[in-house]
Amino acid sequence: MKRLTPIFLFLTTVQTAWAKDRFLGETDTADLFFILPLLVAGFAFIFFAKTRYLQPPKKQLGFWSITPHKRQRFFPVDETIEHMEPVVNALAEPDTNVYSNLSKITLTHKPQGVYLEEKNYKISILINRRRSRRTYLNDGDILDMGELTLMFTSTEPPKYEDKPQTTGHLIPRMRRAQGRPIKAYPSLIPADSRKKTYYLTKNLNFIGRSDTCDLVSKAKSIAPRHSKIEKVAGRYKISDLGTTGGTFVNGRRVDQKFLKDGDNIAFESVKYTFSLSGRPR
Amino acid sequence: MKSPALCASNGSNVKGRATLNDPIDRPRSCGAFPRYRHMKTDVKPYLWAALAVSLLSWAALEFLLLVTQQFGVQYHAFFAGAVVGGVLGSLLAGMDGFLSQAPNKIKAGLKFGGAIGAFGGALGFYLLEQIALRFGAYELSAGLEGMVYAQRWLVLGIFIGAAYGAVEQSNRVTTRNIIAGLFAGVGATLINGLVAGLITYPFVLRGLNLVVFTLLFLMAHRKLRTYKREQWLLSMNGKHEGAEFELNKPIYYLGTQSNDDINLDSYEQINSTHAKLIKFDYGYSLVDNDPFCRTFVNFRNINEQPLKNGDVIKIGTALFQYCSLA
Repeated sequence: MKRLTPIFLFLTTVQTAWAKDRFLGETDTADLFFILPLLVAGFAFIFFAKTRYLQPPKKQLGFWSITPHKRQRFFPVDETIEHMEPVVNALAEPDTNVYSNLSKITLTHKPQGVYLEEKNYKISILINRRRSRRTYLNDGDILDMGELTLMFTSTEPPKYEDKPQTTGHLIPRMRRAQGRPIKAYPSLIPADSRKKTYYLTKNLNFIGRSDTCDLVSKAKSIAPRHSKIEKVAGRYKISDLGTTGGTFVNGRRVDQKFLKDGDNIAFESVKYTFSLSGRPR
Repeated sequence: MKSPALCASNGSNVKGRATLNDPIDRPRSCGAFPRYRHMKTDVKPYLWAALAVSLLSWAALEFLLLVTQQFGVQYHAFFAGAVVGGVLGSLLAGMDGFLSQAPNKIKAGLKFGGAIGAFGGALGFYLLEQIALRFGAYELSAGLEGMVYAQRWLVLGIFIGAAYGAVEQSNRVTTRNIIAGLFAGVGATLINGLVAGLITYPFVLRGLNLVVFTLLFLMAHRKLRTYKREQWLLSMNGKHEGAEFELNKPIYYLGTQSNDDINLDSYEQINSTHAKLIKFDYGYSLVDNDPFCRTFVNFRNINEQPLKNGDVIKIGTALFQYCSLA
């Protein structure tokens, strides 16, 4: 407090320091010429910041340490690095515990990419949060070794087993994950490709022109409540609801019929295909 | 080798690690490293932003003073305060959205920052001018009058901090930025008040005051960004790489729609509103919004999953890490 007293006295008493504020003082005519350059310079700085700093960073072959609450660092990998020990030495903090013999986790550089092999007796590394002995490392793979978490980055995009679907019904679909199977619903695929596929998610589905139906088709030949598809003992049964137009399965007029995969259903002009695979064809 | 903190050149850089057994002990060039991993949280873009904001508000203020001088408008402190506050507020509050490339945040920042900043600026400049005029009448001390004038920055700082909070719609962010505004206001009051005696040319004084205030505000804002932060998402690839999305609202939508809180339209295989984060007592829970689109936590397909520290979230091609304190 004793040290602060002279500073306080200086701040309050020295007249020149707290002089009359000229912040809103009169502008000189010469200042007129500076307004436009100031504006231009301001926008130029914004543009500069955008082009220099707001681009996604370049990818490089190597490992990022992404352990939460720790400093994130990068370590590049080239042909000379054949196991994980130098990587972990460079990226782990002194107090990070890594419980594995790192020299026995080898990295092989192959034309397809970097191949990681775990040669310890017990698996001590998780790749994408799963135990794995050997794998090609893809861009964005997560490696867990004890308390250390690493992310592998490479210039090549990650390889998928099947190519992403580009034609037909564009429902975003990832490749099949391991674990729980996909819950698939049987579907009614319209012959008219402009219409949407209808998924039979309920046990009782009404088809008709009325808005209260589950599958609404506004065609003239269809009755307000034309037919129903119900789930009976694991199979799907289509029933006509006493219409004059009739319900046709594979070209035959039916009253009641159990549906098979690939059956063609027609309500005169409106045609659908019944599909059990859950995948639109 | 510019930044040893970001790129560990070899094992010997890390303290406490055995270097004798280190098989590689050779220098590595650091030039080609991706240096901007932390660009979303780096100090450099904030510095350029501060410069740009202060220059633009300076130009606006000069223009206004020119106009008021030409037309002989009274209460020019009121209008000057409104213009300085509006421009500074909208640009500073829009800056966060600009640096994190979130279009709806930029929009909200320009809107709220402009309105609240203009109000704060007009209030601070006009009110403190009136108070200073009263002090001038009693001829107490010229220094006291100058001190009163300098406090306009404090008022402006607090209002701009409140505008930041209005953009994020969160009490924690509001508190944080009002503290930043207080800090910047006090700092700018001291520095600008002391400098006012040294510089007599008003044009230069105005520019200097604006630069000082903006720099102090942005630095305080950056320092306080992680203050009392509990949960956040760290983006790990693509456009948002390195960005930290703080989580403090009860619900967050993730998807490609423009009004989604975390907008992922630059990534592939993502639905319009793909997933949501819901707040519970223990933290956040990730819920899949659409049964036909897959959401992964730790590379397992999930419908609903409470998240814990270090969980890796994968939505389409976007990869996130969920981080939380404790």
